[in-house]
Amino acid sequence: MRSLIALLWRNNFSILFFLLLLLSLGLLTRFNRFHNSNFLGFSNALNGAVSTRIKNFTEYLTLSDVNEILMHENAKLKSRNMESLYRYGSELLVRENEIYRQQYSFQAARIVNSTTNKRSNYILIDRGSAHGVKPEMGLISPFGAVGLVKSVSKNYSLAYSFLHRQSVLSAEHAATGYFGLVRWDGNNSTIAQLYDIPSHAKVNAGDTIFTRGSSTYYPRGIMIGTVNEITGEEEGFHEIDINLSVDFRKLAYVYVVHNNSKMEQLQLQSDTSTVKE
Amino acid sequence: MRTDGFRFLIFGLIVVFLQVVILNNIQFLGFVNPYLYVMVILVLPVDVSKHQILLFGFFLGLVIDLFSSTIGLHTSAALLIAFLRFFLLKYLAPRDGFEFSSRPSISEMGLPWFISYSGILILAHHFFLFSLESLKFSELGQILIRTFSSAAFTLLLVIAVEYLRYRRKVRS
Repeated sequence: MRSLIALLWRNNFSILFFLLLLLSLGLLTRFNRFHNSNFLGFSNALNGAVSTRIKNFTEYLTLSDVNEILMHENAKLKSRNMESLYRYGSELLVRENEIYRQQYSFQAARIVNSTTNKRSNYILIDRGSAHGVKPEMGLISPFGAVGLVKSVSKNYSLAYSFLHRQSVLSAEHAATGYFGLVRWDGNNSTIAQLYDIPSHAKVNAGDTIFTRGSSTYYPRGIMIGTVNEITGEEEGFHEIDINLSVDFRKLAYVYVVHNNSKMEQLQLQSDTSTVKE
Repeated sequence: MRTDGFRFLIFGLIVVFLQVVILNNIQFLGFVNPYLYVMVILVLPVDVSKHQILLFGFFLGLVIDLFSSTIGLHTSAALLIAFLRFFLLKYLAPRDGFEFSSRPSISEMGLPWFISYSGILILAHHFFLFSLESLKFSELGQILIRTFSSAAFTLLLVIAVEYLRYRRKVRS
């Protein structure tokens, strides 16, 4: 017994190292799995406070680009206005048997910090729980889908962009309607990979890939990118490289997607999945 | 001795500030990212106890993590080199040992010694960091490219900062 204690005491440096290493690896796995812990919220707030100050300085450099993007989007929305439409005659445009309900609403947010050069990249935005943002809400931009909110603090939210090890996105090939999954292999921040499109589907370079809207995070038909090339085939499925339509290095503003039918859809899915088993 | 400690604290704070405010935002060529903060562990005086250095590395990494929303990642990588530093210093020590309160620095040990000392620790730190970030054996090639390119960048920065500190000391 005494020799055991002596042995431990002689190696106390290594033992202290391994204890601290276990502690830090524990922290790492814990915060990768439980995104809503208070500690990560505190880290988000700290990161946000510093990044906002930096952003306030550097924002001016990209101001003209950002303005141009907003102008284009304004023009697009203006052309959809009722006042921009020509009335052919009242009977043609009356759609009185249709009732609309708002399913998605969008909330503008500024990106205060983001990375694109790591294996797992994140985006920090200046809207948080105080503004109604919750985990598992999608982010989109005028160019297309961007990522998914993972944790929120009072005034900031941390989102995974698609350039993340754990990001998976349900996508649709516009020309054929086949579904697939988009992941990122970590090599190039402008190219992602599309899997699970059957190999008999005719896929050409330049084809549009958009969101399928099955996951309650994004509306259907939000642009993801275009086919770059078919890189291979495995077990009857294409492997496809796609050019992402969003340039994550330039992104300055995003919209948070609020899906008002989310609870209903999730409830129905969980009800039926218990029946199926 | 007390003024030395105070000076070192200021130096550490400046380096952490640089890392969080500027270097974390550098995305050179899409994958090169320098981690200058490891320098604070590298240049701690030799006579600081190894246990203190271990705890210091742990908390330094934790501070960097807190500011970049990556809890645990830099903490474990900084801890690793705080641990390795002790054995590397033993291995690279001059024949008659270090003098009391000397520092592993260019001014005291010379440039070639400093490059091999900090090069080894920086490579270990970056390799561990990028492996932990990826956790996939199939991405080993990419991890190695990241490790070597970022380590070269970090080493250059460390040497540049080291020369800045050295020059100031000569003048005063």
